This record gives sequence, structure tokens and C-alpha cells, in this order.
Amino acid sequence: MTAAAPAMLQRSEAGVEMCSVRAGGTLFGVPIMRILEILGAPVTQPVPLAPSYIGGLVHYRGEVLTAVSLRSLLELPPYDGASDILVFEGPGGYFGVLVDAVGEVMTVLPEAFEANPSTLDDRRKALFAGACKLDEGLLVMLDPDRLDPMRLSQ
Amino acid sequence: MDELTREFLIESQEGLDRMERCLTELEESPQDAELLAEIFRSVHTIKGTTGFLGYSRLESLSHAGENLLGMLRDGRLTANAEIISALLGLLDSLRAILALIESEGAEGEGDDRAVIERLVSLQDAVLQNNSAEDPTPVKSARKPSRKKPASGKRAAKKTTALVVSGGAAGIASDEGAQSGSQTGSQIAIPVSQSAISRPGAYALSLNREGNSESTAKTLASADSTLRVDIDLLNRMMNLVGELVLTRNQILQATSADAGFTMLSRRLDMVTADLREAVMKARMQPVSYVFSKFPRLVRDLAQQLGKRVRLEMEGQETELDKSLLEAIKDPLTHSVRNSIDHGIEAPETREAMGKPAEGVLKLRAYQDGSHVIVEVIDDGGGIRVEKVRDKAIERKLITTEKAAQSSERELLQLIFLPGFSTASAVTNVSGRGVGMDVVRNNVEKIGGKVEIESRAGKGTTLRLRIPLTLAIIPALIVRSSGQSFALPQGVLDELVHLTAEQAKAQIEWLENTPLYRLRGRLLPLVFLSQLLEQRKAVADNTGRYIAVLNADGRRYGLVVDGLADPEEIVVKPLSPVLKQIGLFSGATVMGNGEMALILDPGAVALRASIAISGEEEEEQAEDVVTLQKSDNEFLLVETAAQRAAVPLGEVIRIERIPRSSVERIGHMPVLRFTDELIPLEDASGVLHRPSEDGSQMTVVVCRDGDRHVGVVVSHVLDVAAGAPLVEAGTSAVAAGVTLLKERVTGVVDLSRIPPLPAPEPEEMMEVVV
Repeated sequence: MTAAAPAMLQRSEAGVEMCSVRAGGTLFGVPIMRILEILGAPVTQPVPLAPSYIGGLVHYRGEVLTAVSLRSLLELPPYDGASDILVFEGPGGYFGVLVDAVGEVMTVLPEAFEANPSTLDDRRKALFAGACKLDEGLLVMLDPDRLDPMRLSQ
Repeated sequence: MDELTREFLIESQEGLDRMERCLTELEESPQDAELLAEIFRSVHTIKGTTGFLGYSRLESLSHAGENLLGMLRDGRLTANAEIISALLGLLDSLRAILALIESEGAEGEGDDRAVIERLVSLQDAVLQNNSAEDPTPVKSARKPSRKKPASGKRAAKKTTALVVSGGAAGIASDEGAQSGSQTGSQIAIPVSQSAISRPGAYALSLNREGNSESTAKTLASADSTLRVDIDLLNRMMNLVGELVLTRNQILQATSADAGFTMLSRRLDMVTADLREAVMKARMQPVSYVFSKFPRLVRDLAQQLGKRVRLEMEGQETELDKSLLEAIKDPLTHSVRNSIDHGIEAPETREAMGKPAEGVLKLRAYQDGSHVIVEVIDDGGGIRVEKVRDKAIERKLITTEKAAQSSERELLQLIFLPGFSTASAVTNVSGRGVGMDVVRNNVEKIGGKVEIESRAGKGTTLRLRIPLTLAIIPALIVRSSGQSFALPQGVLDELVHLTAEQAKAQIEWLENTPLYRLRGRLLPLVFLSQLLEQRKAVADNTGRYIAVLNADGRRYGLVVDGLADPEEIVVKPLSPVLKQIGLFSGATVMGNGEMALILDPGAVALRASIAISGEEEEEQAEDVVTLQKSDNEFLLVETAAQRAAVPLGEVIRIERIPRSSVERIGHMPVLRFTDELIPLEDASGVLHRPSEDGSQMTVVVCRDGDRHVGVVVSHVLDVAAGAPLVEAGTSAVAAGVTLLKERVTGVVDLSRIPPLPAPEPEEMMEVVV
């Protein structure tokens, strides 16, 4: 192991269950324990004058959630298919993360973890929590706390 | 802070609130044993618990107070102004320490000697009198105070044990006291010093009697009430909001199955009741705010050398907790104003033939979906001419305008920012100190402020507060394909412009769009431009101008379209989106779509719409036009006919489901929460076969004091009517007017029959 695995990977020896999501051409992994709910093809309401990374408002169980767009965060062009929203709970309340599609659940072993490469641009360094080497390619780790709109606005 | 301390703080604060109330009442009836017992209990509970928690400042203060109160209770002293002031002083010190404990976790350093000495010196007078006759009490009265810590702690343990097991405040204090008296003389010491100095049995039996009676009373209320976390209530409110939304969607879903329709109706009813119940749970009686005024009035009156009697009415009227907090300051300000500047000094009053004692009345009552809180004084009132002169001097109104305005309109000038300044306080008959602040605070929560005054007779300030904050009536406007909600409270009127009118009538001063509204220039704000929405709407469609008045800023918001007004459930926005500064929240509408709630004041600021004297003038002018606008009508269509409703009488226009019409006998009526209005159905809309879930439009109007509803098929326009003269006579024809070049009948609101007056029980059934 070349770097200390982040806290979210250290939970068990047997590995952590990650949910894979796709945005653009990259496969991301989100710890499944943190996901409260996945909203399929939700109706989002754009917010005029909002920061560019805000994907819009989503209705979730009587609350109006602010959704962060992973594509906008990575400065990718908008997705024209139906997207999915992952719902998380942060210190300031619920928030959503807009992704292209939710994939499968996979178990990731701490041994497979690598820290962010130093060549990664600063924006991505701040967002990504490292990567896991899978047989079929890299799974980029996402830490939901870093995607919290409260934190992004600071 | 541990649970025990928190419990102690809440309990003590409640106890002190009760004590404050009782103390001011005690001034009226100094012999009232029940009041004295109540006050005694409050102080005693604090003392008992503090000994255990180790707050020595609180303990020594409450001990001194308790001794004095014991004498009062036993009738060895009679409460007078001096004693009550000393006790109020004690109350303030106790409160200050409690606040310190709450904020810093410790009672801090402070010198309480002055307060204690004042309390002791008041008892000393009695003790010395007594010692002249019988020297023993002095000694025995001193002794227990030294003995007290040990026994005090013991009693405290009992009290706290009860707090833990019982949980409710009321029980703990009373049972603590009661068990104290039952265990005998040792524990009775903290209960009352006099229990020792007097023959024990007599004092003890007195104690027990007083306690058991009030224990039963408090127990009863403690059994049936429960303290609930406000967060839980908020959450319940959210869930109910969600349910309302789901219901709306179900009602909109059409189904051929008759059973489903019935079920959805049932769901509709249950949801409405549930919403009401949850809203009720958030309600608190206004006495929560009123209760602090007896003290305030007493202190202020003494300080100013005035005599004021405070009368309170409708204390049981309920209002949402958050709104109660919000009106606290404006009300306090108004009460201060009334005493400071309204009610005259006793000599002045007598010279004017009024009773020396002034009356300040606080009145609360519910009026439809609003609660009215009035501050009424019988003081000198406001001299309108002085207000007018001041306003002219400050260029808030021109001389011509002032001459045209009615007294009532002139009075409202005192709410203008810039009217009240230090010199205004002394020059004008007094009022006007920060009245703009009062108005702003009340408007912030969607309320309104009015003032009425008659020189020499007194002043009435009326706050009109919505029942709840969480659900507000809003107009849904559309801009670039998106919906936004505008709080109805700020909406003055709506103007529709066709594409040609929009082109011709929106004028440009350089880059600033303006619209001539009844001859006055109204600054315009294009919502889509302000929000930098990309999707431009084609020029060939009509526009709407929503004429808004936010915090005295008047402007027209240009939008692409309007949807039906809706009662919306306000949802908070995340801080990121609040930073944008234009939205106060979001909501989910009946159709499932989300809408951002616009903050009209912030929009005005962003568009740099100023409150200028000139605009205020214009506003005053508009009030005039509105009031003189007997000739303005709402043009409606009933069946195939056009009819006119006098605009001045129109309160609101509602789109409601047909199913919400109920009947008393043959009369169709409509219920809004607990307001019942008769419906006029000239067009027979109600008799047409109804499709399930279909909507209808009702124009709610004012007719004298009552409200009536007129069922119409469509609302067409607002237009000025011209009077028609009956040929051959020179009399103006009644009941008709010339509207848009067509003779149109005017709906005679007074001919709508009143609600039938059945037996009260029967009426209840219908309403429920």
C-alpha cells in the first residue's frame, strides 16, 4: 500500500462496499453506507444566479434539496440523458449529487487504494479522495463530505 | 450543560415568569393569599434546587427573598410598592444569574449585597416591632438561616429526585414543598422561616392546606400537557406539507373508479384536519408575550410619574410560536410609546376632565386568517396637523398632496422612515419614535400595521399578523419557463399588457423601463433580466406587471405569465442559495413543480429601487385613488354575462375545488379555516354538472363588516367604469356602469343573503 487509505476505506478488513457512479467518462466510487437514497431521473429546478456547480433543486421527502452537479464541478459539458441523484446528509442538512448514472455495488479492499497522483489538477485534487485499482480500470474515490454545497461555497 | 441544570434553568425561568406576573397582580390585591403562595413557591423552588447544584449566589438571594415572602404570606407584613419593587429587584438579579449560568455555565462573580440588604431591611422593620413585644422571634428567626444549608440541601435532593422521576416542572416544585412540610419541622425550615418562629403546628397546617390545593391544580395541567421539542414540530409540519402535496397530486389524478374518488376526498379531508392540528400544536397564546407587560407598564409609569392601568383582552388568542417571538419587540416598542408619549401626566389629564389614571389596553383577537393585536391608549392622541407639518418640512409629502389627504392617510406618514428623528420626538406630539422599525418588523413576517388616533382621545395601533409563517398565500408568476412565488402580502395589483401594449406603454428613460400607472411613473424590473435567465421570451406575447410594495419600495415586476394563487409551504434554502440574496425560500407546488420564493424587498434593493420621498408621495396618492376608486371595477363573467364587482370591496380571488363548497340548508357557503362566507351564485356554476376535482373561481368581497363570495366563471379585467345617467332624469343609474364601452351590471353585494342562523349546535356541526 503506497498511501494510507482514507477513513472511509478503513472500516473493515474485508473491504468496503462502494457504489459506482458515472459522470463523463470516469467511474467514481461512493461509500454505500453514506448514500441515503438514489433518486432516478428526478425533476430538477434550476436556480438562477446560483454558483455554476449547483445542479438545481430537487424535491425529496417534503424537503427541497440543493443538488450539486458532478459534471459542472469537473467542468464537463452538461449531460443530456436522464441523470440520477444521490442523496447524502451533511452537517448542514441533506444535499444531492447529480451524476450521469448509478452503476453497481462493488467491494473495494484497502490494499487497492492509491492516493491522488501529484499530476492531478488542483480542482480534482480537492474533490477526489484517491483511487482504487480495479481489474477493469480505476475507481475514483469520492468523499461525500467534500461535495457538500456548504463546503464547496467556502 | 447537564440535563439536570438545563431542567433547573427552564423550571426556574418559568417560575420567575409566573412570579413576575403575580407580583404585578399583587400590587392590585396585596392580601391575595394565592398569589403570595405562588410567588413563594417560585422562589422556594429555586432555593431548594440551587443548594443542591451549588449555586451560592442564587441560594443566598433566594433565601433573603424567601424570608420576606414568608412574612408576607403569614400576614406579618403587607405588600406595598416598596416591597414589590424590592422583590422585582430580586427577580431581576435571579434572572441575570440564570442567564449567566445558561451562557457561561457558572453564576459568575457579582455583588448581591445591595439587593439582599434591601430585602432584609424590609423584614427588619417587622422584626423590630415584634421584638419590642416579644424578644424571642428575633433570635429564632436568625438561627434557622445558619442551620439552613444542611436541611436546604436535603430538601433540594428531594426536589431534584422528583424532577428526574416526574419530569414536569409543576409537579416537582409543589411536591418538593409538600413533602418538605410533611416530613416535619426540620424540612419545613426552608419552606418558611416563620414556621419556626411561630408555634409550629399552626404554620405547618397552613402550609399543607395551601400546597395540596395548588398541587392538585398544577398536577391536572401537568398531566394533560407535554413539552415538545420545536424541531420535532417543525419536522411534523414538513411532513404535513409533504402530505398536502401528495394529496394535491392525487386529487389531480383522474380516475374512473368511483371508489378512488371517494377515497381521495376522504384523504383530502383528513389531510386538511391534520394540517390544522399540527399548526395548532405550534400555537401559543399571546399571553406568552402579554405577560411581560404588566411589569413593563408598572416600571415605566413609575419612572415617568404617570398613572396607568393596563387592561388585557383576548390573552387566549393563539399565534404561531415564531411569530410571537417576532412581535415581541414591536409590541414592546408600541407600549413604551403609548406610556411615554400617549398617556398624559395625571395633572394634565385631570385638567382635561379625564380620570387621572390612564388606561392602556392590549387586545388580541382572531380575524379570519389573521390575528389582530391592538395597543389602545386613552392619552393625548396624535395631532394630525403636526404630523402633516413635520412631513411637509421633511419633504415627505408636498403641500398640495397634504391638503388632499384625509386625516387617516396623514397619520400613516409616521411610519415613513425619515419621519422619526430625535427632533421629531420632541416636536411632534411625541409619537413616531422608530415607528418605521415597528412597521418593518411586522411586515417582515407578512403582517401590517395601522394607526388610528383622535387628538385628546387616544391612539390605537393595530398589528395585523398572519396566523402562521410556514404556510403563506402566494401568487405564482412565470418567467422564462420557470415558476416563482411572490408573497401575496406585498402585491398591490396586477396589470396585464398585450404584446402591442407592452411595446407601446413600457417607456424607457435611457435604459430604465417605466410604466405609467394611472398617470404616475412606476419603475419596472424585468424578472428574467434580473435573474439573468437565458431563455428569452418572444416579443409577441403579453406581459404582466405585478405592482409590489415592499418595505415602502414600490415597483412593477414584469413577468411572462401568471398561474393561480396558491397557499404554499415555505421550505428553507441551503445557505449557498441564500447567498444569492433574492430568494427567501422554495416551495413545492400542487403540481409537483418547485418554485423559488422571491424576496420582493431584496429584488427592489438589487434593482436599486429607492424609498424616495417622491415615491412615498406617489404611494400616498395611490391610497387616495384607491379610496376614491368607487368607479374601479373588477370585470367578471358569470355564465355568459359580464358583471362588475366594485374593486374597493374585493379582498381576494380564489381558485378552489368545487368540492369545497358546503351547504347550510339551500345556501352554498365556503369555509376558509374557520371563517364561513355565504356564496352568491348568479351564474349557476354550482348547479352545472360537476366533474370530479374541477375548480371554480370565487371573488371574496367585503360587504360592510361581513365577507361574501361571488362565484364567477372568469375574471376578465380591472377597469374604470363611467357613471350612466338615466335618460330624462339627471340621476345616476344605480346598479349599472359603463365598463369598456359596454353597459355592465354591478353586483349588489348587500343583496347576498346573510348566513342562516340555525341553532348554535347545528351550526357547529356544519362547520366541523
